[in-house]
Amino acid sequence: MGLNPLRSMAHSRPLLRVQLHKLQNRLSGMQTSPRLWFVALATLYGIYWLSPYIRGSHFDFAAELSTLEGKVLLGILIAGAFALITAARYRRVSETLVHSWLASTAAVNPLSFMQRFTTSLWPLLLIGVGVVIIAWLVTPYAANDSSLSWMLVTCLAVCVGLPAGLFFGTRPKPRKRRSSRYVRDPKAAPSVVTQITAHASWLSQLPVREALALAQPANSRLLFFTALITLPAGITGVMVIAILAAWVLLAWLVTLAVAVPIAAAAAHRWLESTTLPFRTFQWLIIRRALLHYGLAAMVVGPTCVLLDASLLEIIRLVAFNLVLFLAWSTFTVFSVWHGRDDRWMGGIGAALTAALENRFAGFGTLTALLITALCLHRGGRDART
Amino acid sequence: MPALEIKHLSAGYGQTVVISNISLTLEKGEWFVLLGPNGTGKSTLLRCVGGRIKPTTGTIHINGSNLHRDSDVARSKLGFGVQPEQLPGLLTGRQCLEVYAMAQQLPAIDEDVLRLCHAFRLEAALDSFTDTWSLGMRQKLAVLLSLLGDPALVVLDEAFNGLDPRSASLLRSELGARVKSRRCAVLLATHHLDLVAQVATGAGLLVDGRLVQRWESDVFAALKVSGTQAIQQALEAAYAD
Repeated sequence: MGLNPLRSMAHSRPLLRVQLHKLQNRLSGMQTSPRLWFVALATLYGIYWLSPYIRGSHFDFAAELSTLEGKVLLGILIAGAFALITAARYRRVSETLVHSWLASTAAVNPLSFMQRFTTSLWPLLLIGVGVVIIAWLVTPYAANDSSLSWMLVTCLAVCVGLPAGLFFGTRPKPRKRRSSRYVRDPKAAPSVVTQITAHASWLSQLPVREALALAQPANSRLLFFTALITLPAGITGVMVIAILAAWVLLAWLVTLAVAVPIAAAAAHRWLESTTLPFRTFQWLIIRRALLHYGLAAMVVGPTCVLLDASLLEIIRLVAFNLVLFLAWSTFTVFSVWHGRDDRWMGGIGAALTAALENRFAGFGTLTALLITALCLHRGGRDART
Repeated sequence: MPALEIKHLSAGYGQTVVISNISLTLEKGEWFVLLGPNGTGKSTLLRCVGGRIKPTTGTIHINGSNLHRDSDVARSKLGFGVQPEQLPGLLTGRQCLEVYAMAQQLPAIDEDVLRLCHAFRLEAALDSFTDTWSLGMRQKLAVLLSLLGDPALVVLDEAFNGLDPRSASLLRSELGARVKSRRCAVLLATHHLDLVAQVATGAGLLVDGRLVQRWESDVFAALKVSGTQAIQQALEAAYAD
């Protein structure tokens, strides 16, 4: 087996060539994976945050870049981040092979656990050792007085970054079956069914359940680390709780907004041949999510009052957010109804509307209302087919 | 009035034409089976009848109502069997039934459907999420949903796939009873010639998006008497032509 066991195997087995192409496609996608870039940035931030304990002062990146030692240090940090991303990529390569459609074939089965493990691990070790050697060679020349602390920082980068890369490189579990694990089990009912009446409200629970499924640990741990990064040093415990609570609330509202088009698509695929009109469908899908937004507004509003914000400003902010969600959800449900997926357009529209509201108070709210009315007006039966 | 009347129907996806110039009429009391090789447009035709694809030309009437001009009335008489994977995974079976009944503007689930649900032994699973169900269980639910509201036309795409023999037999009996009492017509796409020989009153062969052969009920009855082999030979002859 050569340097890359996957490539060697693929060369001898035609089916694996196909699989290798899949892996290569996946790798090219991984280079821009927000998850991994997030981890890389988090590592850099962690080093920045820990630096006072190691070298006595925070890094000033602008100032550091103007010196040779700063450039070298940043180079090392970038190498650490690259190591992290590469480690995660190769971890995913191994998992892709294990979970692939060829996993049960004779070609793949002989790969033992150790082989798979080393397939993941060897580039990781190679890069880790390489980074440490480079740091060892360069830092004494670059910084006479703090070479030891720089070495510590670099080792810390590798020690934290590589396991984090392995951890975050884990493929998220397949959503469909696993998602329901994070949604509360329904209540059991009598086993003999004598009557079932028509009931619409379940449809409005669908976005909430989708949001709960999206908030599974594989995704929410990212939020947790993001929230931790935003915690400034030296604040009180109450402030920590307040900041984390704000993150949780914000994340839940965003997740709900993301879940609306997903739930709408699931429901539309299923109910497309029924007599359900667009306005009823749209209202059923968004009403419970809208209630969540209303409750959030009732929490945020009084909190802002306690923080001495202007009442008029609070009302404007809350109203805008509610209307913006209404416009976003109506637009995305409208596009799903027409067999399209215009979430990106909806996102751009929401950003532009927010910018408009920020520049000219009230205009963003009016625009969002206009979008909502337009979608409701055009969402008729004929348009659907 | 016919349960289904299709005139000069053509449809496709984007620039690709999948079915062209198809005309078909089904009366209540008919069980019509669509046959044909994979990728010839059977499912596309059914999706057109289900109002899921807008045809490029032609018209579809369900129980006398135009599917696109008089959509609500036409759809209220249509029972379309969705694919099992299209059921919402985060609703329970019972919730699916309740929502679907609401969407079809029914006050409650029909007794026939509840009885079939009991016969299918689905009751114990009705309060769990459908994404934890097996393919066969979801197929059963999809079929039950298509029978809600006593539709004049039941459209099923490979609906017997994944069903255990007992459930398949129950479904055949239920649909057969509805067809026999002239309550509805059934339009079914399938590859199972055994099933065709048992239940169909007519059949059509779709090749490259065209309905190249239609066996009317009297001709088809004679063919069925000779068994599955004869149907297979007739299909091959029609395909060769």
